[in-house]
Amino acid sequence: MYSREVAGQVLEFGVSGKLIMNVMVMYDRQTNSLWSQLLGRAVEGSLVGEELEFLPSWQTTWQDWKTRYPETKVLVKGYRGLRDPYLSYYSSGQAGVIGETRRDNRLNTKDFIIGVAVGDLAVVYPFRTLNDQPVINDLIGDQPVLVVFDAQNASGVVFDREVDGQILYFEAVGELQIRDDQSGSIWDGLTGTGISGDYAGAQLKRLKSTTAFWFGWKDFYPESRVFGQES
Amino acid sequence: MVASKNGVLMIAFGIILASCAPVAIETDGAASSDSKPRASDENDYRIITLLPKDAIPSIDNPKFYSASEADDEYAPDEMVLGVVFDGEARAYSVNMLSSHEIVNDNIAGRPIAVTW
Repeated sequence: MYSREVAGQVLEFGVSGKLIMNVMVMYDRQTNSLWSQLLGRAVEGSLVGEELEFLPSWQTTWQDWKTRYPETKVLVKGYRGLRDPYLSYYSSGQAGVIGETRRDNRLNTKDFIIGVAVGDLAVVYPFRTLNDQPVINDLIGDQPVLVVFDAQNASGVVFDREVDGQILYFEAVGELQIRDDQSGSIWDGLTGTGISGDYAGAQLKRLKSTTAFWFGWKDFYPESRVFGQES
Repeated sequence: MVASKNGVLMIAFGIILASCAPVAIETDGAASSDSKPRASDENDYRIITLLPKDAIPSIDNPKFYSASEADDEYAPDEMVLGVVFDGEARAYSVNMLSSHEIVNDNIAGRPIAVTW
């Protein structure tokens, strides 16, 4: 999810039909520049080098979403395609349409991961690790990172765990709730909002993250650290 | 693979796209077979053309249901991508996003691209 405002201009995006390492390339209808969806950056055309502002979103079930946001609006269906055209693809062993740029057997090709890139550093959090450890406190370079995973809905979010200059350490305390060690405050793990305690009403900042297959991510970020596999 | 109770296949995966189209692949540039780690410089990325522009149509004028209207078409365990701005919430069917890949939308006066 990105803002469509770039350098004071509102862009409209279309599907270019091109791929970079198996990941969609968009084009904008104003300048015809090409944009990498994964990087959020123009890679060709007059806007090359411009970046799209990342906007936080959530993947979850309809039931969970409407419980959280009863006033939500919901996309009307019926444009085209009643079933997910990638269904068979998810379960096949095939890695993308052009094959992999490079092999990396630290994870299986189609393992699902949450990827986070901070500057030149990238870390992946495999779903299978997150299933056992749904709250992860990590550090990517100087960036304190908190990953919260909802195994029920296969939905993960990543936060900056520094608040007002203090780096907090979180643990799971129940149904998608987390508690920081420093104040004992309780937070909503998916929205990052303080619920009770000293940090009631405080808000953790979301960091850009990408849910992806391992093979797609590692082609872009081959030097990624795999959480749980540190030597 | 993934121990999700809702089934692996319905989970959302934004970054693997256009794979449904069984078409021949034409490369824009020379194929590179070297296996050295790639630089993270965008100029080094090889762009391939798989489909004509807009062969997968983006949704440009999305229409919306209320939550109660959506219950007729959205199963409780159906995956959605949700966004909230200024108290305004929207949900997009992952199935629809798989078919269209991009929704050009505006929420709370803010132009957004929902990408898949």
